[in-house]
Amino acid sequence: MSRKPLRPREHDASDESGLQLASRLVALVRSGRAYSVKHIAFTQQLENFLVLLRPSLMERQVVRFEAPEGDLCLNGERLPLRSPLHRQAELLVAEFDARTIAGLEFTTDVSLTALQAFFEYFLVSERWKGDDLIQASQSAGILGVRALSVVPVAASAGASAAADELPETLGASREAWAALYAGTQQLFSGDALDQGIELRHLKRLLQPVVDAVLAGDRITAALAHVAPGEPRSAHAMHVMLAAVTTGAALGLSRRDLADVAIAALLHDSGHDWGANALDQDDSQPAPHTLEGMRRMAWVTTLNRNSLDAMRAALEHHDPCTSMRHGAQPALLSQLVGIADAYVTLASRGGKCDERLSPASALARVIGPLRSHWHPALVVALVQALGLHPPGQVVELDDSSLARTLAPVSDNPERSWIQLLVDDRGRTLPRAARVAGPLPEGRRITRALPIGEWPAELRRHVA
Amino acid sequence: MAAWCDDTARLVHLSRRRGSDDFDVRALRGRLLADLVVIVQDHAPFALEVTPRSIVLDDEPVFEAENSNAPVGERALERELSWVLHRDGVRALRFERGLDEREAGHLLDALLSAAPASATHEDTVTLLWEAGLEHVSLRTEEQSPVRTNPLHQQQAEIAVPHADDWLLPSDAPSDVRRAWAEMSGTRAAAVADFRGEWTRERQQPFADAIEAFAARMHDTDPRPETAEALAAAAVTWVATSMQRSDWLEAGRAHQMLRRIDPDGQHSTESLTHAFGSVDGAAITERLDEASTTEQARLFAFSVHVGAPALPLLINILGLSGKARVRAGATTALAYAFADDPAPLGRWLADSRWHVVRNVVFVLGQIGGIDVIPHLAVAARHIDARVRRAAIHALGQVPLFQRRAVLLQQLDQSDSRLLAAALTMLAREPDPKVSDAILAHLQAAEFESRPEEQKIALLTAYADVAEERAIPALDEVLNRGGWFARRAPERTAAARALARLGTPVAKLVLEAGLRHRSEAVREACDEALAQWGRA
Repeated sequence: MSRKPLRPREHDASDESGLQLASRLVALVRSGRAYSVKHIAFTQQLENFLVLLRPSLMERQVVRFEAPEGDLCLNGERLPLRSPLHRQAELLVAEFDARTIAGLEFTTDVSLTALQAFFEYFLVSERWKGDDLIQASQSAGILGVRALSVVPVAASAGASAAADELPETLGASREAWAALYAGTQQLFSGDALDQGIELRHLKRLLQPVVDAVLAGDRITAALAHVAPGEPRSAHAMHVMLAAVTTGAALGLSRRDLADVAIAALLHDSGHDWGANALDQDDSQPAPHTLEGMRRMAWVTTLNRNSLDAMRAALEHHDPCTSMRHGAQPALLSQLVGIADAYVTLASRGGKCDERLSPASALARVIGPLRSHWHPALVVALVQALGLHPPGQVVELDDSSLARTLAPVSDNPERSWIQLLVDDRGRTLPRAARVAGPLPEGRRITRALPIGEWPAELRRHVA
Repeated sequence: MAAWCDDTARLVHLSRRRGSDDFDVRALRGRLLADLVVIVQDHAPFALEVTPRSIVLDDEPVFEAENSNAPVGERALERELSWVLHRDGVRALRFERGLDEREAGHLLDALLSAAPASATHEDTVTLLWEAGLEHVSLRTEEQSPVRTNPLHQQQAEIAVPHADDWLLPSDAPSDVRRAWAEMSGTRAAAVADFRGEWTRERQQPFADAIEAFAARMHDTDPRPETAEALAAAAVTWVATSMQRSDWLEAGRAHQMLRRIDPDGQHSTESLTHAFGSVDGAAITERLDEASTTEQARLFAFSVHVGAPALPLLINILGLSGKARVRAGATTALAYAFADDPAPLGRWLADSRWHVVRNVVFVLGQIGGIDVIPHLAVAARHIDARVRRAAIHALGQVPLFQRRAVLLQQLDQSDSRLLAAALTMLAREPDPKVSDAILAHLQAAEFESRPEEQKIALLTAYADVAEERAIPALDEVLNRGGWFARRAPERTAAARALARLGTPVAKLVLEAGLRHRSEAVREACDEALAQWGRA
């Protein structure tokens, strides 16, 4: 999706009033550093600001300052560059930047009390930033003025969509997955990674997922949604989940699993990174593994987690016997590598005949590619995904068809399933496809290749 | 609970200054964890709500930060217990009955470990999560892992599809079930082997691991852009080690940085920035309490780093309450900037006079021609203590270089400063110096100078001009003619003539004995008596 272009416009009186308002806002912030919000001097400034704001609100109902591309906009229209007040506009943009908000919005409900209450939060810029500021001012019941979030709406909507991938029975796991989805989308959107990442905060997002895996929740069911052409953020989450479940099958501690999760989430961050710069001198772009290592070095604070992330980015394609980068790949890199291989093969291809079913992908990983990794990783991957990995369409011994969601713990041969076609060959409506463990006495007779899957599922993976 | 919170805040402060291995810290920690177990036993379940400046139990504050009224952004506030918890996203701590000393210990250790916020180590929430406490639960608020920039982050994600970067194996795939069955005999051994190997890998000290990694990257990927990225990472390691006052690790980090970027081409600017952005007050606080060995480590590290370490050393000079620490810092500065003292010059504009004085002292220790312009600036400082230090420092500079700066001091109204400048000028007599002093003796302002300054100028003039000083001294001695009165400068002129001890000087004094003014006669008589004694 490309950026929405800003509407060009002629310079008019409303520009001037917009710049005046911006200038007053900047003055309010400055005064707020010297006076408390309740101080008479500050209150007078707020009153003056309201007097200036009212006519604009009467005219437009809403006054919204934003800086989508670095230039201050009033209700989506860029304010003029040549005005002598333009410097004030720049300062206001810097104030938004300092609070990691997209802007401020005033509506006709605004009152002096609301402004006072809002500035109690807004002026404490070191404490109240971004969503904290937005939520705190909302919780305080402040009407008529609000900070605007920088989080794209799509990310919030996507988070709930991500949770819908998981069975309703998962409860807290769905929330953990949804929160991670939102965070990962932010992480992989635009050049967000290059602004620098806080691995400590990322780890906090991953902890509930690790807990869900260790608690035996069927969060692995999210891997049923590995699909061809999936975006990088989805790929990163799926690899992370596969790596953590595999690590859990090996008995790794929750601390180690959190470390694995971070490295797995960031393993492919070198794809296309730095390509533009290299194109200019006609050099061949470096492999994504090297670029990923380099990118991690740039954007993180060096510690054990960032070292793991660098190594995983560098080594996740190296066979375990390789000395390609001067040493054998670390076990953590191999763990990320086997998860990446499975998810990538399961999501490969554009045309139907190039695609692999989850079972085919797993068969290749534990078959021809098995020498890439420590033998225990191959064992653990099967334990984590089951013999019929999530998303695989299988035929049961009563000829019904089902989709596997997650293995039953300690028994890779049995899975939680979702019945698709009953034993009489009737396709079940979506509402009737309840997830549950493979019933006692039933067994899976074979995994179907993609060509034999019901048409709707073939479309889904396409 | 209020007393426990207060003592815990004290523990955080104490540990920050002395480290967690200090005897008092360990004793206080031991008492606090026993107290917490009892409190929880008696009153659980309960929850402590955490705000940046207070901790609240059932709507009653049980802890208020000592610096609770400090403005946001002030670092003293950021070291308070409530701020440390709130900063890490803790919004409430809930205690359940059954808490034991092990869990209480984990809670306190997490607090102490996370308090410096070095970014190398985990935050409180992660440390408690790793500890897996059963009777303590947290309500937290999460921050975005991305440092969002509203100027760049407005656009929605462009869903770039993932690249197929694993080649499809050409071999025919085996059946999963059969492959699984084939593994049955080796599964247990493989997993056991993996776990052993995993433990060995994870137990490797971080410093060893990163050094080995950087070395092999240097060998296998010699591209400058890789070195640049690794240098940037190494700088963050240096900075976070410093923030934790781990000078051994900081030294290793810096050595690694030098191996990656030997001439500092990629890293000097960011390293300087890192040294300027660490919490110097916290480091100094810790340093003041540290052993001499620990202090020596810091200073050795700073000398090794060189110019980028300047902001930290200046911070220590400005904030340390221990003379020994300040002395160490000045010595380190003198070593670090011996070849190029220019960066020190910037700190002569510091608002703290004592910092400027110490910088001047360092410039004096360095000596040589290069420090002259900076000492000249310091010699015009508003604070006389700095100016005096500058004059003393000029003693380490070749005479012909320092002369101009010293001569400017003859205008000074500060007598000690003038005396110091004259003393230094008199060490090596020179016609230019004597001419300059003479000009001051003959200036209209001379009469209004304080007594001691007049004496100092006359004495110094006699010392530097020798025989050539006699006419001027004669003039001062006889000034006033018939109406000459007793004056200190007259006495000083007579004494100066006596000290010259030349026949011409004696003639001048003897002529004075016959002067019509009694004041002149007395001055000459006294001087000649002194001559006799000599």
